[in-house]
Amino acid sequence: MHIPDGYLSPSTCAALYAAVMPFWAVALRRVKALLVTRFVPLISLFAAFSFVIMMFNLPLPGGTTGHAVGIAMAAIVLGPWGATIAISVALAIQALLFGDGGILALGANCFNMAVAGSWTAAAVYRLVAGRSPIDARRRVVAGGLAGYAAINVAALLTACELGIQPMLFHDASGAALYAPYPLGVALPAMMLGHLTFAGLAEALLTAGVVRYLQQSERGLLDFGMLGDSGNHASRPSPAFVSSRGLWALLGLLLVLSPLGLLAAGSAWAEWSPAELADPAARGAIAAASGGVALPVATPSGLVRLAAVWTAPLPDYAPAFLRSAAMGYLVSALVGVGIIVLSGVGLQVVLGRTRRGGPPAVLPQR
Amino acid sequence: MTGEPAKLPAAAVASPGFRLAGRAPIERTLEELLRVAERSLYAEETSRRGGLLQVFDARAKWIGFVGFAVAAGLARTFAVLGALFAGALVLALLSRLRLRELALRAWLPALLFTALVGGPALFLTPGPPAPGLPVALGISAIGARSVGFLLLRVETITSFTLLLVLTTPWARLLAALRSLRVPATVVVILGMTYRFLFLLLKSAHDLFLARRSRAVGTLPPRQARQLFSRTTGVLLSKTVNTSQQVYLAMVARGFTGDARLLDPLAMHGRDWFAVAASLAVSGVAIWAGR
Repeated sequence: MHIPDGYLSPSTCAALYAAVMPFWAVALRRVKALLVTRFVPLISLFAAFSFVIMMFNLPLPGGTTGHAVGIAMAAIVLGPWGATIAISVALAIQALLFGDGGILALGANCFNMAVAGSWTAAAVYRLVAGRSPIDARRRVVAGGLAGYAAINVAALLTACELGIQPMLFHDASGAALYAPYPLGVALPAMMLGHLTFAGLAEALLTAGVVRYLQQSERGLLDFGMLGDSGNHASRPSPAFVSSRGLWALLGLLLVLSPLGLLAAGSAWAEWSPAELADPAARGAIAAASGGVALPVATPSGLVRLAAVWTAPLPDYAPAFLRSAAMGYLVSALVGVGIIVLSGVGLQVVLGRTRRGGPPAVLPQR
Repeated sequence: MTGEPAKLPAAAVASPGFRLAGRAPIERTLEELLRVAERSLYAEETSRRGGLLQVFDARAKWIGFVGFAVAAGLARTFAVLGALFAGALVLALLSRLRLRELALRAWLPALLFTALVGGPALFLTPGPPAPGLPVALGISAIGARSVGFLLLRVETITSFTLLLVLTTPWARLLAALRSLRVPATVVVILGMTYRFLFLLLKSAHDLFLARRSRAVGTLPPRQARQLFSRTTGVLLSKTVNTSQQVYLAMVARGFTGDARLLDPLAMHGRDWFAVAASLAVSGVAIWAGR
């Protein structure tokens, strides 16, 4: 899971540092504002705690053992913003002091585990736990699922980052300069271990700790440390209510969307019938598929279904724009606009059906 | 900023190579906790040896080694990667780091891990067979080049990271980060995390050792899992309680939430020269390795 230096190109590392920076900045500001003076010792101790539990060899069913990362535990106790910082600090110390994960790749590791992992864990926990009582068994299940989802989302991102390397970075002879496996190999290789052993370790440990906290330290559950006086389970975590930081991030990602032009060719398994018929493209596809030869003729079903729907903005390049970068930007704006409008529409509908109830943004306790 | 680390488990200090018998999960965890503590001690010890790199300012080393790491990351030829790796070896020798120790602690683990991860690419990558190797092996030339790049690159960047960490005390490494515009709060958190890491390592070690001392034979898997969950929960409680105590102690000493650091670093002429030389070498390596 911890990507060492040398597996990702410096440009990928730089892009992922850029992606994680806004999260670090917003997380520092938000958690500091919530905890004021308690912030520094709490995050420091929790980062040390995350580091230490990564050393535990948890026994798994079947006689093997696995390491947990503790992402979901941090997210459940500190909330996603606090967990983002604590896990990032733990990863930084691992990279600097023990060489576990690279320094150049630190941004990538933090993005995968500290940001994506923490937010996934917090969302899954909140979704599954719902409004159940603090000592409900459902919360134990929620903790386990949050751990399982967090580690697998982080693994999926890691696999994607490793899998795009041979596609984007190779020398004149075609030899990969960094991680050598295409997505078709990296994804199953990475996910197999995480969907089974690593995911199980994370789920079991998180569920066990949630059970322990229910019996001994209820105040720590439900982002209990993200307040000024113990348990704030009665109100939604402020991190979920305001989303200014995320809007800023969304704006940044929109501006960066033309970076997609750097990727030559089509993503793996997103080939058009025209590409499957083109000899040059067929060679590139076979190379990206671990040498597996393509069928001689384009599958008839693919040809038939490809003609069913013609996208209004094919290949993120609206016909009325000459600049490819501008085409990407406009496509991203249109896509985000449709999603936001859909969300607003859904919120209006849900608000009507829950007249008099709590706001439809997120469930409250 | 960063004081002396908390007292380490006596076994770790007395016997760095300490290994517990048996390979049950508790024993393996105890072993791993001790290994982490021992590695930290080793870095503190090597950073005090009077070698070449130990005399330079930490900021100069940060800039220089990040430059080398980026150059190694961008290199597209074996010659440049090999030259950078050889340079790292020379710097290690001049800094009184023993190559055997480095090989056992960093190069060999990185080599084994990368060989395990990258090895199958030798056979999975299609292409003409590698010259000089039996065709029956099924190793393609492109596959061999890909794995070669990965291995050499990983070893080279790992070496530079290691040189930075093993020749610079942790406190100075962090002070340098502050000088390089990393927010003071982040630097203080890193420093405190490092200090309390030893306290929690010791707590975790004591918890497992206490349980292990009261058990005869190996725990059944289900009970072992429950033990790990409970131990993690107890450690979590200790973490939160300790943070409250530390917070109160900090407030009692006048902490208002603002982090201020002493900056004991000073760049001398030799440090500026080292920065210029390392950036020049990195620039040449980037140009030559295109």
